[in-house]
Amino acid sequence: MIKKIWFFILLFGPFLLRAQSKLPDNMFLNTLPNGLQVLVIEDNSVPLATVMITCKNGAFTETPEFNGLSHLYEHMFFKANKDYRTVDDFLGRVSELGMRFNGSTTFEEVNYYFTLPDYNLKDGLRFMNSAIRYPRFDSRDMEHENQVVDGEFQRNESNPGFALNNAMEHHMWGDLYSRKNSLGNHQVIRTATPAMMDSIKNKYYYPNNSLLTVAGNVDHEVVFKDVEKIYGSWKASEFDPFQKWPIPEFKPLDKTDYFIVESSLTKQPQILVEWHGPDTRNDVKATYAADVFSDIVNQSSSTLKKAMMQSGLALQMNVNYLTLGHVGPISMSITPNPAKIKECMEELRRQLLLMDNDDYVTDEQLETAQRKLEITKIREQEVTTDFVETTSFWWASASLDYFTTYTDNMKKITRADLQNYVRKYIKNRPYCAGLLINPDLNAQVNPKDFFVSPN
Amino acid sequence: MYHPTKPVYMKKILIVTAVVCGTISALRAQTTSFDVDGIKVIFKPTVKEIIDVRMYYRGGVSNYTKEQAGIERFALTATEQCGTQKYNASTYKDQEDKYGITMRSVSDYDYGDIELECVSKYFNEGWDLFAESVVNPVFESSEVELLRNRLIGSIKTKASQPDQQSTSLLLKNAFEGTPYEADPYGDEDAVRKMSIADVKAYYKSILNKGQIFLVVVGKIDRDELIAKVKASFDGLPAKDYTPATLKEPTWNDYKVAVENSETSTNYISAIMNAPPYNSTEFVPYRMGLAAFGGALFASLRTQRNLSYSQGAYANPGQMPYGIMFVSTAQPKEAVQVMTSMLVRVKNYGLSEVGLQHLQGSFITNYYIHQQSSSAIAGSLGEAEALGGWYLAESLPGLVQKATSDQIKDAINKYIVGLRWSYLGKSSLADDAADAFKTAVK
Repeated sequence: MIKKIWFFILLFGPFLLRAQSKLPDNMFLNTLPNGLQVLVIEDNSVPLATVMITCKNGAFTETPEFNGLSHLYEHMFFKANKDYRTVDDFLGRVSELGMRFNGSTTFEEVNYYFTLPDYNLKDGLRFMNSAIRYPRFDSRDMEHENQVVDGEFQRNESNPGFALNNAMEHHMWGDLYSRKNSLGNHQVIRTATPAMMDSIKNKYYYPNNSLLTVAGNVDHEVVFKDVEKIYGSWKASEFDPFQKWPIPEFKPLDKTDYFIVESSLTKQPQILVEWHGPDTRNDVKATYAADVFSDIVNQSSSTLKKAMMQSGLALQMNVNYLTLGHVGPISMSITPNPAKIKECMEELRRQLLLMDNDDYVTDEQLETAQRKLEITKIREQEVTTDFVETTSFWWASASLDYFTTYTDNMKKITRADLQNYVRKYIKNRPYCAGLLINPDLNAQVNPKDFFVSPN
Repeated sequence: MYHPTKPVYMKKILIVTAVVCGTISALRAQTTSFDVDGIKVIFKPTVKEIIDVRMYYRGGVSNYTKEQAGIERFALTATEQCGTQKYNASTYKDQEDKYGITMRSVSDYDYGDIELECVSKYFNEGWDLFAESVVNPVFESSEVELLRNRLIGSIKTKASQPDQQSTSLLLKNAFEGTPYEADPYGDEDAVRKMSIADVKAYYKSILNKGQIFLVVVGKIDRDELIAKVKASFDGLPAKDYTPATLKEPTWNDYKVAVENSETSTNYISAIMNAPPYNSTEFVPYRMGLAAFGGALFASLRTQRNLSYSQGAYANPGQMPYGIMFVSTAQPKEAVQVMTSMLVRVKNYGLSEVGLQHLQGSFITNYYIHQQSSSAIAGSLGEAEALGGWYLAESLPGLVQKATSDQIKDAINKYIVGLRWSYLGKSSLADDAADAFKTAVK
C-alpha cells in the first residue's frame, strides 16, 4: 500500500508541481544564479515598458527605533547614487529617458518603478540597477528630504480618516504597532542618519530578497538576457534576513476594544471595525475563505447589506480582508446614518452573531462570489502598469504560486469553510471598533454611552 | 485580497519630462464614429477582455441652475441604483453582482454619463442593464430616498477632504455668476429639497438623440454593436440640441479666497485663464502648464523643500482653465516661489532639449492613460463633449508639432492674472497677503 502511494506521488508529482507554477501565457519567470527573481509580463497594447523592483522590506521589518526608515529609504532611492552624483543628475536622466517614476512602502514590501517608452527599456534597466545597488545617502539630501516627509505627514494628518486609521493600528497591534505603521514615526525619520539607511540596505537590499518585474511591450527572451548582463553581478546575501532578524508574532487580541476619535475635520461619522485575520504562513485556506466571505457579505442581496444599508442604518458599508504573510486584518468600514449610529452598531453586533448560521449564505451567493473573484483577476490584468504592483504584492505577502493558483483554490471554498472561517476569526472573537465623529455630533448623540464593548 | 486602497505612502505620481528618441507606432485599431438611427456612436476596438460603454449627456451644469446643483448626479445615479422597468432595484444589483458588472455614473461641469464596465464574456448581460438604465429607469421612491441620504453623505465626505474642498473653494469663487458656480457633485441643501418628480423630469429633459452620444471601447464586433444600439435606443425621442454658449470670466487681477481650517498643513491653489479646448493654442498651453508643473516640483520640493505635493495642469472644458497648487506649512514662501517660477516660465521659452523632454513626457503619460477601456472611453467622451472625439486621439501628433514659441505665446496670452484659494490657518494667509498680490508678468 505504501509503495503504491509513493508510486502515485512520483508519477504525478512533477505534473502537480508544474501545474502550481503555471503562469498565464504572457508571463515568464526566471531566477538568476544570485537569487534575483525576474518576472516578465508581455503586453503590446501600448508602446511602453515598466521596470519595477520589489524588496521584502517595509513596516513589518521595523522596530520602534526604525519605524519609518523603510519609507525614508524609499524617498532616498530617488536621489543621488554612484552613477548619478546629484539629485539633479538623477532627475535629468529621468527626463532624458521619458520616465514616470514612483515608489511605495507598504506593510510587507517596498517597490520602485519606472515607466518609459519601450525603446528606452535597456537604459531603464541600467538606471534601475544604479539606483537599487548604489544609493549614496548624502546627509544633505537626507536633511532636505526630511522636510518633504514632514509635508507628507501633515497631508496625512489633514485627512480626517487618518486619525481613525492610526488609532485603529495602535489598538489592533499594541506593542508591535511599528510593524504595521508604513508611514512611520515622524521623530525617527527626522533624526535618521546615513548609517541607518546603510543598515537597511545591508539587511534587506539583496537580489535574493528582491523581485524585478519588467512589463509592457517587451520580449521576455531579450529581457532575460539583458537582465542577466546588468544584474548578474549583484552579490547575493549570505543570510536569510528573516531568520537573522525574525519578525515577531502578533499577539492575539485578548479583549474587544471600543474607542472614539473626535475630530473637527470630519463632517461625516465613520465606523471602523477590525479583527486579526488569517495569514499566508499559518492558514492559507482561510485566506481564500476570507476573500469569498467578504465578497458575499458585500453583495447587495446579502443578509448583512440588507440589514445595514437597505434598512437605512448605514449609508455605505464595505467588508475587506487584506492578505498578508503576518496577520492580515479583517475590516468592516461603515458610514453610518448620522441619526442612527447607535442602531447601526446594535444591528452590526446582531449580524456578527448570525454569520455562521446555515442560512446566512445562499448557494447562489457563494457561486456569485467565486465568479466575481475570478473576474476580478481578469480586471487586475487590464492596466499593466498597475498589474506589476499587484504581482509584486502577491510575491511579497504570499508567493507567485499563490497568485497563479488563486482562482482554483478560491473556487474550492465551501459553505463549511466559510463557517469555519467566521467561527475562527470573527464570531465571538475579540475585535477593535473605532468611531470617528465631529465635536458637534459627538455632543448631540453622546456615543460614549453606547459605543462601548458589550463584554 | 489585495486592495490598493490600504495606506500606501509616497503614492503621488511624479512625472518628469522625457526625450523622444524614436517614433512611437500606433499599436491599436483606429477609432471610428458613425450614426445609428440618429445617435452618434464612437467606437474603438481593443484586444483586452474589458469592455466599457458610456452614454453621454451633453450640457452638464448648463442644463440646470446653481439652486439645483447635484440634480444631474442624482438623476444619473438613480438610473443605475433605483430600479428599471425590467429589473427592480434589488434584482438589478443582483445581476451586477452575478456577472461582475460595474454600473456607475458621472456628473461633470460639461457633461454627464452612465457607464457600463464588464468582461467580454458577460457583455450581453451588461448591455441589458445598461440599456435598461438609459431607457427605462423607474426611480423607485424608497430607493430614491436611500440614495438621497447616500448622496448627502458623500457631499459631506467630499467637504471633509482638504484637496477636494480646496478645489471647490477655488472654482466657486472664480466662476461666481456663471454656470460653473454650481458644483455638479451637489449641494447638500439642494439635494435635500429635490423631489422625485424633479429628478425624473430632469432625466427626461436630457434623454434625447440630439443631446446624447455613445462611446464604446472593447473587444466587440461593430455589426453586433450596431444591432444592439438599434434594438435598445431606436425609440428614444429625437430633439434638436443647441449647446449653451458660455463666456469665461477674465481673471486679470489678483484676489484670494480664504477659508480657515484646522488642517495640519495649508492647501493653496490658483486658477488662470486658458485657450478654448478645440483651438490650436490649447495643446501648447497644456504643455506649458506641464512644464511649469515640473518647474514647481524642482523648485518647491527638490530645491526649497517647501512641499510634498505641488503641481500645475490645464483643465479642458467649455470654460477651460489652468491650475497650480501646493500644500505647505510655509504659505508665504511657497506662494512667492510659485509666482516667481510662473514669471520665469512666461518670460523664458523652452530650449530645444527642454521641448524634446516635454514632448516625451507627454507621450509616456498619454499611453499610460490609454491602457484601460474605461480611461480610453473617458478621454474620447470628454473630447467629443468639448469639440470632437478626434481631439483626444490627435494629442500625440499635436504634441510633437508644438514649438517653444507657440507654448510661450499661449502662456503669455492667457495667464494675465490669478485667483487664489487658501484652505488652512488664516493667520498664515494674512502673512502671505502681499505674495498673493504679486503680478505675474
